[in-house]
Amino acid sequence: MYDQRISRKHPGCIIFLLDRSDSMKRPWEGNRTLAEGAAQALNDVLRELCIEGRKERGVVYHYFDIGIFGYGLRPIAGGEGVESAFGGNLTGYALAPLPELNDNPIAVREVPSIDLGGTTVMAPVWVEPIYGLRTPMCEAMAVAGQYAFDWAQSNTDSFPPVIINITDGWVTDEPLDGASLPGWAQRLTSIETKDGHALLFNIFLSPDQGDQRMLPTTDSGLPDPGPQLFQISSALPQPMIANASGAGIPVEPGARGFAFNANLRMLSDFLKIGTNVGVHDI
Amino acid sequence: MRQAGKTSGSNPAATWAWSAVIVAASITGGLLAAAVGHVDWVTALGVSAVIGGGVALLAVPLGWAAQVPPSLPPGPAQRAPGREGSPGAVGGPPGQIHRRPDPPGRALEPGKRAGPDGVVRVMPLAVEAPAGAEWWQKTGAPVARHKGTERETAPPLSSYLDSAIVVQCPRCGSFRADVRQGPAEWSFGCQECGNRWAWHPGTPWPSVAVRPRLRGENRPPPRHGGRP
Repeated sequence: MYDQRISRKHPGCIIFLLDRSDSMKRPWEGNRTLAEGAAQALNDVLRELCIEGRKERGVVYHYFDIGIFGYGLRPIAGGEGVESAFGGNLTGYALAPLPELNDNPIAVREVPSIDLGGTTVMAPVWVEPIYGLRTPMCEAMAVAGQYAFDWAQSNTDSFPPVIINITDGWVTDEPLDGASLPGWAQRLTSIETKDGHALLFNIFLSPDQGDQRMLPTTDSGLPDPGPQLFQISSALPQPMIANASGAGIPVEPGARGFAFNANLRMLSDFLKIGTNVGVHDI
Repeated sequence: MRQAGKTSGSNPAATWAWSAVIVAASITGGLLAAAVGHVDWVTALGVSAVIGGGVALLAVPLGWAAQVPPSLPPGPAQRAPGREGSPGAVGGPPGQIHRRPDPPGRALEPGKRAGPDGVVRVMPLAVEAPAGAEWWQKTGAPVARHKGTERETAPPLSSYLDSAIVVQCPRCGSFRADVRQGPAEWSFGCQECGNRWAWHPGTPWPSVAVRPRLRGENRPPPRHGGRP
């Protein structure tokens, strides 16, 4: 279980669920809003994936299919709901292979670097900070589940889909289709390939820097909505535990893919750990 | 068994020649065995002829079976550029493709946008509503997908590109804007320069001028709204 390495023959699937509700406009660290910080961290990890997939002569291999779904304000269709956050040439598409992603950022801009403090760098941008309305998290899982399910049916030997939910709020659309948020998480993680069940990781962003937790083993003492998000988060599989340890983040056995009251650095580390499942070129 | 006349690329004359060679080789072997083993040459000749003939007859249909009839669809290797079995593969099996029309100016044609390994595998959002069970009701091990078992869960995006707007302040070009949806219009407020404007669906988006120096001026005080 969870030992299939990523290759062109067995690509991986990573789906990001990005909260675009109104509360994401709250100020965060570094004179950013939560939406800006989340978009920046997401753009950074997408760039890392593209760099990781780049092989000889700068060619990017098809190691991953990537999906990004925003929930809350839908800037394209309007109103509240879920829609693909891809723009530019990828507008309207749900899952994009890594080479297509690499070739189609919506812009290359000067952005502040998370790793280099106040320094700015030129970097590709795939996701814009957008926010408004409420938090239809169940619907986001329903939409992501459809594509994760289809993908798993077509990639039965691959590492199972990884779904990373970035949010700062409480779900506002439960129950949906007969299930509350834990029910939807259970549905989502029932999707499987031969290598294991889909993994659902959750990170709760907050301007409140108190009681931060990163990859915890218990929800003891967490304020709402920490316990619920902890309960619906998958346990980290062994390869990701090794990655976290390698990145200097101590992880105890039984740790969940969950972070609470995360700051920008935690979000960046969380995304790197959750998307690093080992690429093996063949 | 397929008939010779329905195969593609087979050569009946060559096939029968190979059969004759097999029979001759078998008889020769039988005669040599008779000479070495002091067996009656008539018996050796008969046995070898029967065995050789049988092998030759088996070889003929096997040779035909190896041919690919031209009426069959191309195999996976010919189904470029999509990946075999990929739900959204461009050029994949019929019924598994839900690709919205390419918008003007887009360049995602399969042949032109193939990845380094020949793969174009963008999975577009489903826009149809196939009947059947919900995806979460299909539990158990992965199985082959069947046409008509999918569900429309994606938002309607038929006019996605025509209405695609990323909110950007017309005055300074900032993407940091507050958005409010009214009954007939959308109201915006730039968090960088304080500019406020409204937009009615169906009307052109106001032209944007990028003036970074205006940012920071007239910035409204941050509003800490409650979490939704």
